[in-house]
Amino acid sequence: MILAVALVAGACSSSHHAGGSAVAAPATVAPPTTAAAPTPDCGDPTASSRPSGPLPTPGDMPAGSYMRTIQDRGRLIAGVSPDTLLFGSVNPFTAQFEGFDVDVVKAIAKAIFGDTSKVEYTAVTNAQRIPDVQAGSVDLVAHTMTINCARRQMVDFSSVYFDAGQKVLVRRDSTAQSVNDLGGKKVCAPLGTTSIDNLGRVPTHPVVVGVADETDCLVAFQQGTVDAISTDDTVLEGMAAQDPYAKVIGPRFTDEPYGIAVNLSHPEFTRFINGVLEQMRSDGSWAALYTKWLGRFGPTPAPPPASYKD
Amino acid sequence: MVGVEIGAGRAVGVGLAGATTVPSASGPRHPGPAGSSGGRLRRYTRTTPGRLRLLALAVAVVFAAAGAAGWAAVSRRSAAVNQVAAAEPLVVDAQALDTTLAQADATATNTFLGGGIEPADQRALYQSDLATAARLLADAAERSGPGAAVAGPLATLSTELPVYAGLVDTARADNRQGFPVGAAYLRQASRLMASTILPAATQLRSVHVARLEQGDARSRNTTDATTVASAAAAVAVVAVGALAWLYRRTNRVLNVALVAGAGLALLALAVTLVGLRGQQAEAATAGQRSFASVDLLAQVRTAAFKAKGDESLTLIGRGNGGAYETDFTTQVTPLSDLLAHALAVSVSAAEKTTVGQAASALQTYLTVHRAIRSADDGGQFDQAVKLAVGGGTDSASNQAFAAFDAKVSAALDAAQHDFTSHITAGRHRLRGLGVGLVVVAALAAALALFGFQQRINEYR
Repeated sequence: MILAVALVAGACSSSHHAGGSAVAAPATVAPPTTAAAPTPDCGDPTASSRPSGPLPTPGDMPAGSYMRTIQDRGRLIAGVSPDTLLFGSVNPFTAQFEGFDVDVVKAIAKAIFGDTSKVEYTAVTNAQRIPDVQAGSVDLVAHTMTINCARRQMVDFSSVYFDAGQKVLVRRDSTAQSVNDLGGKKVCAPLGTTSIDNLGRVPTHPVVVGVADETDCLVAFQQGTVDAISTDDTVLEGMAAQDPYAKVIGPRFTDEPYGIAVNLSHPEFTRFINGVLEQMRSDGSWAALYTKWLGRFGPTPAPPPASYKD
Repeated sequence: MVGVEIGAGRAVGVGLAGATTVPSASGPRHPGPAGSSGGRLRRYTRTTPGRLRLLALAVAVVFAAAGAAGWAAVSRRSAAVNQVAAAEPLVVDAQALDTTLAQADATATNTFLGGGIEPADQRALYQSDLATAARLLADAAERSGPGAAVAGPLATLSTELPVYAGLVDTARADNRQGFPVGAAYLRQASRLMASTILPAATQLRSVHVARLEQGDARSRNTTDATTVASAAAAVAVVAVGALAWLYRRTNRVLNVALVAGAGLALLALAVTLVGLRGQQAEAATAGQRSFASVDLLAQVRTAAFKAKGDESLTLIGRGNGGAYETDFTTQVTPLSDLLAHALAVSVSAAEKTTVGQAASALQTYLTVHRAIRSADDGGQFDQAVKLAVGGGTDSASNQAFAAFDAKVSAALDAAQHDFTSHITAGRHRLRGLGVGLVVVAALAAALALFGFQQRINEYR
């Protein structure tokens, strides 16, 4: 009943504006997707297309390939997060996008053009990631995006370029040890994410609050509207870095393998991206990126191995 | 009031008071039972002098009543004009509040666009807007008077404005530390402004507009003029009737005093009627032209500032601000029509010229906006931001917008000036009419009584 009311309120406030998530109410309480769609079984969801031989010379993409289309356009259009510190966010000082995801995009641009600056970044909300890739308004989405079978039906994914897992962010003085200690508490997660679906399955039943942009969770947390935030540990570390009164707790209670989302209609681009990722794994640039963005949280692990389906 | 000194040197009471004190000067031929009022009335109606006295009384009462009715009509009208005059500054202030808030939000969002520390002039503009809004709000709380209609929006504004300022300053503090969460606070602030604060300001404004319009309708209704015209007709009919009766009974063709009295009363009523008509015309110009223009231009200003905020938020969205661009279009689409209407109803040449200039300045700004959009949509975000924010208030967009707003603001001032001057002119048309009517009606009644007394005296 409460959920129903909250849903109606949320629907009203967002329909008031021109249907865009950008102006939807921030602390909109939305229900978790209780009846999760039956997940199709796709075997290993992280299995991607194998790179087809060595990468072509930058600036000389094969004719007829999607990379050629991008090269002829003069810029790669990448959907990234505008406010996920460490992965994709706009640096307030420089007004430029930066983060791990952004640097991966730069590596792809370098492979196409030989120039990391030929990128048009476009901010996408979590919920817009799949629709934007499907509509072709972006060439790819690199936005802390978990690969799973349900999403594979709609978009193609690169090989895994980062292993994350869901954790919880609470106030520094909280006694909670893990997500299971948050039964009945208000826990925020962004809409259109695996995080919000996973929260719905926590046995102690926290009260799930959904927002459009994940940073709105931090606002709600700082304003005391919610007690905790639960999403990928990577995202949570970025939030904790902005708020010394917050801490990230507990073990990972899910595995969130990140992939770059690409439109299903040009698999050659997925193979190309996988080639770039393969190069990053082997030439040490992946490790360098990890150290650059996440080194302060612990030793740099080995890059996640790629799994291919051929 | 109706006692009249007669040339003969003898004071003779007439009228209501006189009726009870007049001695048996008329020499009643059929005296009724002493002490009974019915008898006294019979005594009056059965003799010519008695009938003359009754008629004198009736005529004097009609003249006095006509004056009183006219005075009441003028008073009602003056009250209505005063209501309009009193509501007008409140409407102006409420409009200013609405616009200032929209401007503050547009400035706050624009400030965040460039990256780095915000331009000092932009920050100063935002702070002065907030200070102005707070002052206008305090004034409005003091002067709006009681009533739930104003209490609701005033409470919302007083509660939410500090919350808004807090959100903007949190955004600013986060921004200065390089935390992207600042952008989320800014979005929340803008949302609070658009969904709660501005609607409350608009509601406050519409309460004052309703009060003004109520006064305006009363200040040019036709009932008052009809009342005065009816009073004049009553004076004329009674005077002619009395003269005819006197002619039959006394064979005097003209009773100069009665005619003079009636003439004076009619003249005063006619002057009042002309004054009312004149004021009505001024009120119509003020209400249907100047105020309509004020209303339209105020809508233009507020919508334009909302659109300017949307322009910044679209860019801040970094490709995710499509909803703001849609809202921009919603806000600017009606502007040309609103300006065309304002041009159609504007009164003074100065206002017409300024509204025309505002319309072309709007096109200049929209051209810059389109350049921003095509740069942003074409992947040239930095170029778009340069156009939008550039060197703070000197950017192409901010300059074009400021030029447009300056014209709208000047036209609004001109319309407001026209409105006030027409209301004042209308007020001047009513000046002295009420008192004048009362004095003249009293004089007319006295003259009538005097005229009758001359005839009554002939029965001695």
